[in-house]
Amino acid sequence: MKQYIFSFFLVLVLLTACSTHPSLPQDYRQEGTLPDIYPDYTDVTVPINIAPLNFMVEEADKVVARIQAGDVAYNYGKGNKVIIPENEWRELLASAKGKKMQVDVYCKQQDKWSRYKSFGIEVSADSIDPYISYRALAPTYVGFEHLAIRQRCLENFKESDIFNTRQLSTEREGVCINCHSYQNYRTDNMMFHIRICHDATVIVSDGKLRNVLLKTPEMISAAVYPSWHPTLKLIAFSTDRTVQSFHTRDITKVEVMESASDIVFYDVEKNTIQTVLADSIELELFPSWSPDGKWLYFCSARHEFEDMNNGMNETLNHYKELQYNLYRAPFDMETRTLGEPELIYDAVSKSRSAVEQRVSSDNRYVLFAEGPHGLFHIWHPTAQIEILDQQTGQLVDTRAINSDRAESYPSFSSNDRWILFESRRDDGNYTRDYLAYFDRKGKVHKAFLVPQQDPEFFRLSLFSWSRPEFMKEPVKITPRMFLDQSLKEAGRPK
Amino acid sequence: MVPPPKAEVADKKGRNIKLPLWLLPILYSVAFVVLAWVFLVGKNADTLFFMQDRGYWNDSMVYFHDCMRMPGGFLSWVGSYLTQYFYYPACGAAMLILLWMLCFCVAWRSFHVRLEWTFLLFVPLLALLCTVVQLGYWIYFLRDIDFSFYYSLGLLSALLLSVDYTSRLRYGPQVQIIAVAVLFYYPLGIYALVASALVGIRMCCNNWRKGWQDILLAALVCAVVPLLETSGSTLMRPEQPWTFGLKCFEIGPVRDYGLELPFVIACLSPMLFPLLTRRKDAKVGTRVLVISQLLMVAVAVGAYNVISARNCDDSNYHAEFRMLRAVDEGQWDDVLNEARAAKENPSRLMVMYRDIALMNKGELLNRYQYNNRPAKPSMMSDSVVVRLCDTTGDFIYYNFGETCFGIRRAIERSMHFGFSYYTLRVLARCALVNGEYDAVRKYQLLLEHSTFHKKWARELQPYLDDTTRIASSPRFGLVKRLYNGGSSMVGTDDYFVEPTLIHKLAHTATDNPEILELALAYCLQDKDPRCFWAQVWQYDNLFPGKPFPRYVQEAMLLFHYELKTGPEDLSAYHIDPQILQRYNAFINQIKGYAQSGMSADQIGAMLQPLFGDTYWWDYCVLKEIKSY
Repeated sequence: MKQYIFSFFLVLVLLTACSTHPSLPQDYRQEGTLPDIYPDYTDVTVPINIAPLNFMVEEADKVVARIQAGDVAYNYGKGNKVIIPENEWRELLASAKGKKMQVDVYCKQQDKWSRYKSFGIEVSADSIDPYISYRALAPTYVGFEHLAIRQRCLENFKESDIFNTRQLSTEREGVCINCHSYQNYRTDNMMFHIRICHDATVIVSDGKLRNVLLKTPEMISAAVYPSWHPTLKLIAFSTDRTVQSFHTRDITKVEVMESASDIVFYDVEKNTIQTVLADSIELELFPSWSPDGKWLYFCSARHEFEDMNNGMNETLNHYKELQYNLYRAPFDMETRTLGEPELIYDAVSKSRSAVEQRVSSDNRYVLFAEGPHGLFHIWHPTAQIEILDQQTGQLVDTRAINSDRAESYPSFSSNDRWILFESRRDDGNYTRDYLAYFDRKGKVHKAFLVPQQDPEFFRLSLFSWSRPEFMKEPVKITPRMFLDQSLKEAGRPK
Repeated sequence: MVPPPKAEVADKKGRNIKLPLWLLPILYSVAFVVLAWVFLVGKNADTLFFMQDRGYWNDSMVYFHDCMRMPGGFLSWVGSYLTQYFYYPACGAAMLILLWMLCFCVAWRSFHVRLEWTFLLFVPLLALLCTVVQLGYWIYFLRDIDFSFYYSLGLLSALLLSVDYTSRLRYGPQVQIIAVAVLFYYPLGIYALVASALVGIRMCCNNWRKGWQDILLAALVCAVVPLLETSGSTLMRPEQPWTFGLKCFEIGPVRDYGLELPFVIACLSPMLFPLLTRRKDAKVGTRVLVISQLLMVAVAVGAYNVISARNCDDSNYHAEFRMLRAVDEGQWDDVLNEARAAKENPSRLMVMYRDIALMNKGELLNRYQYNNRPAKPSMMSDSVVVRLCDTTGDFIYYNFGETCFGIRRAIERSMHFGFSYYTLRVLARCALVNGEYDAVRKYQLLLEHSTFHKKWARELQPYLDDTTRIASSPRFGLVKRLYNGGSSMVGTDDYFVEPTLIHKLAHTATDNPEILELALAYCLQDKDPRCFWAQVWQYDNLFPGKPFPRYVQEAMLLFHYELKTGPEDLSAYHIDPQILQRYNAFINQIKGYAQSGMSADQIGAMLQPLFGDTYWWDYCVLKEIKSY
């Protein structure tokens, strides 16, 4: 009996071993092209701490890939997918640190094997912030039934909800959650908004929770797009009146516009709100702090309404004219006041609209999304990621990370070496998060999709991953704690 | 061999007659199967097909893991797989009935129910039958439409898990109570708790003095296990672990507890099965047999009446399903046959489907030959008006070439009620017409992962391989031309599909003859003379000398002579003398009836035999057609 059990386990082990490391086909035809793998990881540069870059060849019946880094080499292949165990991937990364690993892909189609041109994956010694958080929802326009703010560890495939609307919403009343934001990539100070039902901004301040309805009579709306000051307990928000309208033929499908917007500061400790930018003919939006906290960057569109009482309709009629430039204003950390804004990038003169700017640690590079008009560039197929070099006043060549479809919401990692942004390059409709290396010479490298355990995941997922943010650590507050807090009555600013 | 049980009944002369009681469960089963078949296949085959079309399952691990994140996830996964078989309603119904009969057999064997009382084992099954046939317009608003198999599989699982495997072992039942709940709560949801409770109740029924502790244990387990196992779950509200998976018929301010009741009965009534357990020494006496059979008759009659009353037999409701399927498959004659055969005035949805069929046959202007009188609005639970945008607004938009609005409505609805094969097909079609071919490939891939919709998905491939075929194909050609001929603007539909389409098509500026005829047809519906005359002039410019279609001529007469709009002199246009003659007769009669003091309804009824097929009749009589 014992020998049967032993044989059984031996066979099991052998089978497992075979399936994990298949042998390379001996009889194959050499192709002169790169393999058509999904996600496209050919010739990308990845951080030393990234999760395995599992991929698949959709048209193939079977795939075997040989990945070699220095002396370490493994073969992988399971059906038409290449799934790499995490421990072996770590080994490969360590061997290829600062160098390239070489990948040879063999595909079987109609009972014939082909070997494709080898490609490299360069492993940068620059690590990436280990976490990102994003908003998972169907690419909806108005509805918001099922959505979650999720966090994902980039070093492996662990993923969890930070908060999910299903915790709170009922058949009777839905809930929307949005605009998650962190102070300096850390989660001890963070926030997100809850809308519609239990309307409030949930704020974590030094690990302590509270919810506040950030609205005063002077504000256009409750606080919207946030940015935590990197050192102070201060959040800059835009406050704005949003209008939506739908295209009948244009595959842009929807236009999101602001008919009015200002910028306010919320002092987390004093619980006070102060309006800081409220020019009546400027639509100031998307505040973001420089990492040293001495500058507030924002974008603004200049629009003089003919009839201020009919701003909504006028916005709808002139939506293509609403184009944003990038500005910055000096910030005095002692007095907490803003100086005179200065134009740093004139997109309007090029008939473009620049929004969602982020600044590198040395204040040199400004990363932003640029589209034809308006502010929601993820709906604009011609929207691109751009980088302004403030030292030269020139734009960096970003062709390596852009595609012929919409790109939006870029941000730098805490060490400036990695760019995270959202893109609809896969199919034009579902937003996916991409990473790209930004080297010390200011060169942008080819972007790659955030890796998934099952490479088919994004092909099958009907959710968008929007508004991605880097984090140095996971959120420590549990979803249940957020829920309990959100059920309490929201405070009001003084 | 144990002889089959028989009842000893004394006849008038005092002799004992042995009745074959074992026949009773068979008779009950046959009656139940017939009843279920009649209601499922006979009366609701179209509903079953629609249910699978609004369901979703795919064979990927991504979908499996997604299901398994929730309590009852395995039931949901298997349930949604089996729901696919309603694609062939008789096949799906047969599988469902088979599942129900398995439940009956397991319950009978497990609880050793007296033969004459076995009809009571059908109570949860009758409730399950009721859940399928009672939906009405709620069917458009249900998130997890796989419930028919979900609940049936749940019941079967609970009965199997509560079989007496352990009572001979020391602490066996106690271990069973705990293990079933702990191990199966996630795969089976509340049905694992039902199983635990059943074990506890059975132990208590077997021996009250000792068994009360088992009931207490089962209660404790049912209270604690969901709490512990869902601790940290973000997929439900804190109070939901004990009810997760139970259907909730709530939308906005309306909640229909009546529709929820059969689900609760189906879930909780098995708890009474242990009470029916046969005592070993019991004999079937005449009195007991008579009482049980009288009760059986009462239950049967009651169940039949309840199910009949609950069954949604609104003819428009069923016609809409059949018309939707025919439109989906491009069977235009079937759509028109359905429209002609309608027993009642057509719902707005039926009118839209019919017009789509007419449009595709190039006969839209003939719509006045059909019944256009408005039906009462479709309602949910007699209180919520069902809007087109929440039912098949996306598909209607697609058929009129409004693919962007179609995508919007499809995504919005899916956000609330989940993605389905139906939605994926709508999205794939819209994306194909829009030229978003990578999006088509995505939806195609998702459909290829299903069981019965992969064929449809593969049929798209030739259009992706050669996109120039789209505009010339009978399948997508008209929609593509409507899309190309439509105007590009921004706006919204304010949730009203029909007026949005009528208004937009009527105001379409085009030099495409096919689209122009549609624009003219919609001008007639829009009843806007300025817009109408603009299209008439455009038609005249494009086809100088060509006679206008009959209904356009009718409208020209009405708009010119009665509304005093359009050209000063109508003689520039050729009007068929017969139409003119008929028009004069119509006007004379309508004025005569009006002067005699008849109401509008009475005038309409009087004019219908002679003029019911004219535009004038529709224009003058059907003034209050509301859109939803």
